[in-house]
Amino acid sequence: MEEGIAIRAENICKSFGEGDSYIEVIKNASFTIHKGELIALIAPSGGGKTTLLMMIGCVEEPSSGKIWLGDKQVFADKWLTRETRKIRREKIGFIFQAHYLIPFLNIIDNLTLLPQANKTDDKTARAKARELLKYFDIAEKEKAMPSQLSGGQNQRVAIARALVNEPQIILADEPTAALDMQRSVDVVKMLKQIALEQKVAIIMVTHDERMLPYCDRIMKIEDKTTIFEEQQLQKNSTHSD
Amino acid sequence: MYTKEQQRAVLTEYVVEKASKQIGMFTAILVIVATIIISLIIYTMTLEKMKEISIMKLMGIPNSMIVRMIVEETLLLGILAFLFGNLFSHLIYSRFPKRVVLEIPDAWMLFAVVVVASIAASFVGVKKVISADPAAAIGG
Repeated sequence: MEEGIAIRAENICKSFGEGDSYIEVIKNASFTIHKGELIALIAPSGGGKTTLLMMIGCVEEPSSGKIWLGDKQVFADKWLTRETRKIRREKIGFIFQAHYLIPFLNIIDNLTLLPQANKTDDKTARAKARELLKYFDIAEKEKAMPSQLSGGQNQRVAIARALVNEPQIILADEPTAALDMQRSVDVVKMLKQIALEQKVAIIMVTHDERMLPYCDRIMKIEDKTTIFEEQQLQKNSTHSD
Repeated sequence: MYTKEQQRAVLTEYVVEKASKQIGMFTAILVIVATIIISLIIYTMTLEKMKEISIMKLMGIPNSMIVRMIVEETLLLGILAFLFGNLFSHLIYSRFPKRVVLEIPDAWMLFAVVVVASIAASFVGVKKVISADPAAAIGG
């Protein structure tokens, strides 16, 4: 397998139901995404964006096809491991529409939850969490509860949480949906910077066409399959700003 | 015709034994009711947290870790209820029409019962956690 590939999918299909209720959502989708790329995933509502994201994220089982995450094949018409949750924990970071931080845990505990699940010792987990909070300029908020932070700050914590386990892939489901234009641009630029600096592949579902110029490529779902639109606009904007 | 000893036995041991059984019965009923109430509270609290639980499962947090959180929460509720209950009973027991003796070994036994009852009460919440769908975290 070619080095630098973060995700490779071959002819993945997903259908639901049987007989009269049979629906095919994704049909023969094949694509390759490289480390360091920020990909925008667009499709009309009900077009299969979430289903595709869930299949890449080892949550939803495809009906058929093959998936590789990094150099490891994880799906070949069935999951090749019983521990898909472990794959998510170790290789994938998730960012959601809202921050969805755990409201009864403070910021640092929210960030150390996943390393704890990975049996990382508390000291190392906290050091990594603090490093990320510093990177996102919210180091002084580590003891605060999510309810005490602004929407933008919480979304930065959510991005930090997605990065805390040093994943190879980040799946972001409309991460800017709850933010205003300026904050949305800031978050997308931040994601681009993270993709480049940490060699992470990021797939970002978005409905906001204003965010597309900041992405490397646009992946569309058309006629139930994926196609790419090459995109070069503002490719270096992250570093020039 | 009772002898003096038998009369004493009827008037003391039997009455005491009966009262002790009654108190024991009340305690058992109260523990069962408390377990049901804690179960319902934990079930409601778990339902309120379903989105967060789905997110944790989506991120890859193992069930054992989430279940531990639920059990800890239930235990905390049970222990707080025990402490406040005990404190309250010590404050008002002298006003009871019948003399009540509060003994420390009994309190420890009740504490053990409360811990077991709390763990049993967390079962409904734990069941809900195990059935939570990680896919529910995405897409609204």
